[in-house]
Amino acid sequence: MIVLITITASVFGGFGTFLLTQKLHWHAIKASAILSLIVATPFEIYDLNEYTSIPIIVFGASFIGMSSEKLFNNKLILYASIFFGVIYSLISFKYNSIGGTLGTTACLSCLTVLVLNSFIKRS
Amino acid sequence: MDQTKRLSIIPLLALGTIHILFLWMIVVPAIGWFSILGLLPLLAYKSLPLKANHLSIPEIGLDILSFTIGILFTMWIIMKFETSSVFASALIGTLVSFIPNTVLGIKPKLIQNISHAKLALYAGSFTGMTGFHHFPNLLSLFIVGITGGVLYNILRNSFTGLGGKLGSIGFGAIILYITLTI
Repeated sequence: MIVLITITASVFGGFGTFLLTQKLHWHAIKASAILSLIVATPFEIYDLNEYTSIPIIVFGASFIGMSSEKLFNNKLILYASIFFGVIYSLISFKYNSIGGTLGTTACLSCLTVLVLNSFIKRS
Repeated sequence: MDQTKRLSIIPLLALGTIHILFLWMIVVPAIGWFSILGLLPLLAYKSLPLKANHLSIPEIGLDILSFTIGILFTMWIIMKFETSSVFASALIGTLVSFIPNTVLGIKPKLIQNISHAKLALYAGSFTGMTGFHHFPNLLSLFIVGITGGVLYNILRNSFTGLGGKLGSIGFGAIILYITLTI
């Protein structure tokens, strides 16, 4: 169940940011930050003790959505977001307090999808 | 190898070092030696735009300043309003995103740098999400700010369009400091 919620939140963050930049032509920072802020605000106001990692996952995945359409299409963003969700489930970021881990995971997810895509294209 | 090609290796080495440090410091303790698979994505570097950035002191200065402001403001929001680090960083990003990239439709060199300053500030806000115990004093914070600004300057024209680049820079700044001071 938790893995499913993680992947859903990840797809929402990644795909949502990408759609905001592509369809509404928002700047990548604006799309990523506003989407994350909207998701994080209820968790700041109300005492939502369950699923506290949702804003973290959406924020991390939103970096995937900041990618350029020259390199990624909707399908690749979707795969990268799912991959991010899986990696997040494997590594508990809750216990390390180093900034940028989410962004680096997002970056490696994007790179993984690019490598796999080039392998598939070749074969 | 001509000089331009040689110089374009610098951003490649910078991002490669950050990602290898991530695998070493974060992924290996979590999933062990399976994390060696994490080296495979680095093959994608060659398909991404690589461009050496010409040394410009004002540009580096602006990047360092923006990155440090990003760290300071994020930490200040977390401390002052007792918010989560995600909320603080997203708030900084939202505020920064409303700074216009052009003035009256004119895009001179200085105004163009504002766009980069915004990105450096957002990258700095990721570093600001770091736990306070990693910054024993104000000097450590400024060292991390300088490292992040220089890293951003090296990578500003390379890997464009790759999601997570700013996060990697934010991570690189703090992890280099932690690694070198252990």
